[in-house]
Amino acid sequence: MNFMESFNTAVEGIWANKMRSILTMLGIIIGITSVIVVTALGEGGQRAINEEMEKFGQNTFNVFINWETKEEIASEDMTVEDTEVLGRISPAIEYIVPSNSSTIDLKGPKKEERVNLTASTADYFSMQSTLKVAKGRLFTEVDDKEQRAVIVLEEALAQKLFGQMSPIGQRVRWGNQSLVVIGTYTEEKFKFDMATSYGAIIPIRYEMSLQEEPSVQMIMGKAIDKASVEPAMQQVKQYLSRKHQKEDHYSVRSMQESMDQFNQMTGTLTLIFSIIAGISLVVGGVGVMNIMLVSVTERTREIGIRKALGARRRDILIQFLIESVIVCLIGGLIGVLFGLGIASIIAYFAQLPPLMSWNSVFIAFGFSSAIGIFFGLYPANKAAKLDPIEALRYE
Amino acid sequence: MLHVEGLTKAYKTGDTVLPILKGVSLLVEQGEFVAIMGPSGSGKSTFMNMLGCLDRPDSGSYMLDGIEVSSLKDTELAVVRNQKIGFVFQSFNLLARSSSLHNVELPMMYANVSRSERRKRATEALKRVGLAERMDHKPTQLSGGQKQRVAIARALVNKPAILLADEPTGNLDSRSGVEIMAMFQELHAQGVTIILVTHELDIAQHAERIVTFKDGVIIRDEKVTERIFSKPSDEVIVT
Repeated sequence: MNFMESFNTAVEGIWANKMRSILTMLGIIIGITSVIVVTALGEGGQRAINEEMEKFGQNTFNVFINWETKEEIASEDMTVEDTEVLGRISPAIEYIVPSNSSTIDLKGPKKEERVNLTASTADYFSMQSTLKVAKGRLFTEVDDKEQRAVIVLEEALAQKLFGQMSPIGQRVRWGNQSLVVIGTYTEEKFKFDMATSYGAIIPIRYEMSLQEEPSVQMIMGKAIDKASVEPAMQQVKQYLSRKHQKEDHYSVRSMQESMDQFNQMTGTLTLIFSIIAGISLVVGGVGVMNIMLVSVTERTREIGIRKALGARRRDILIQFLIESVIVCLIGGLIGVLFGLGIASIIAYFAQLPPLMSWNSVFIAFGFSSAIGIFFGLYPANKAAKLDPIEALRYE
Repeated sequence: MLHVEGLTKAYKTGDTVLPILKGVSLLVEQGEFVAIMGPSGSGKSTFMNMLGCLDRPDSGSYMLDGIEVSSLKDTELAVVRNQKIGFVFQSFNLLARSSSLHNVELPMMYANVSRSERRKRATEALKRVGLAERMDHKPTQLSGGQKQRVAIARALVNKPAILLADEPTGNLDSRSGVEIMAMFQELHAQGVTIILVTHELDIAQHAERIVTFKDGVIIRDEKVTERIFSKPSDEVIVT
């Protein structure tokens, strides 16, 4: 019997037991659905986050004090002047700025708000490519050098603090300090940033003048292009180590490295969840095997008839194998559709871009046919090996 | 056509070996109509399974249509069953979910006959047994006699060397039984070689020759002198 005939016979077998075939498929459907949801969300989410990270942090790197440093940590380990010198001497660096951030309460005439305060130099604005002036102006190098008590507010924050009133030229209070609002800005937010508080930016020299032991928490740099990231990072590390006479005291990390680490982490997580989801697929496969065994027993007589009429072992084996593979493939197809549907719904509510993981679709189909063959082989072989005399006598 | 020589078969049940066939020899010529009789346990069913290539003898030879089949492998036996043997069973053994036409097509599917050729031959075979009107009926929509006629059409469709009928009237009322026996006689008249297993003498008497089994050997092999001729109608003629 050729393949098409076997295929038709198998489809007839499935069709004859519609309800049972659907229930059997259910196990595969659930298994494939969960695998697809997990991998689609994992892979798609990862890709979406990477795109965001690239938009915000292309060619950037950060400098911190090394966590595992053996040197003594001092407040002047990194200074504003270091960034100025580095910006001048390194051709690989486009921008390099110091950055201190803290969470504070800002008080306006209308309201008090919790704010993420960033202190940096004027170059900070150039580095943040998505930051745009809304009203007034941003602070300048002069404002910074003069340690002026000025502040630039996120537009939405200004509206909270001042209501309908124009905030420009008005004052806000931060503890016992009073700062003049010189401008507002809008900024494209990092989509996956969980922080919901508003931002405000002040000159770092002013901010440091308020500290008892003035220090810079972090240096942020941006290389002129992708190829310059490594050399820029090298130069920064070398310069700081030499200048401050400290070995292995600084840690420089590019956005790319952070991204790689993030990807590795989410990749591992996705894999673990896929394996857990995959267990349900195996359970579904066992269900297929179980039903196929029942089917073989139930159709013992049919197998006997077919053998008496000239079916070879191979004909019977293929007939049952195709049956289980078809059940698994249809289950797999429905599972893929369900999985992508559920993943899209979740993605929609999680505000992720539409995600589609072709990989997981191919893997799902591969897996369901493999499960069909693996779990179908034993029952099919059992059917093929039936003794025709016994099978014909079976009631 | 069919030549069996010194066939033996024994079954093992636990430690005891139970001999079923103890050296059976039989020669059936082309076009013969032979009935095999014997009480249950006489070995006639086992012998039938051997003739039908559903089982292999422990020793002895079995030549069917020029082929020594006793030493063939499973796959080759399947081909022999498909090409050389037509089965008619007591319990019809039709595929319950398939139409008459599909049931008759089945042996040709295993013979890799093309779809259109299959359709043509199956239709002819069903016409030959008088079921042209019932081609699309499933077995549940047919009477016992009609089911057996579908089975006969299926048995003949690959033009086998022998037709093996195992108690073909056992599940039928007497009227249908007569009809089926009439059909066998008609086929015999057309030159089909038929071997019929039965335990009823008046069924066996439709054949030309009766072979009787007892305790695993043939004890009698004789021509039928008082042959019964059935007509498809109710009348039974005894000559």
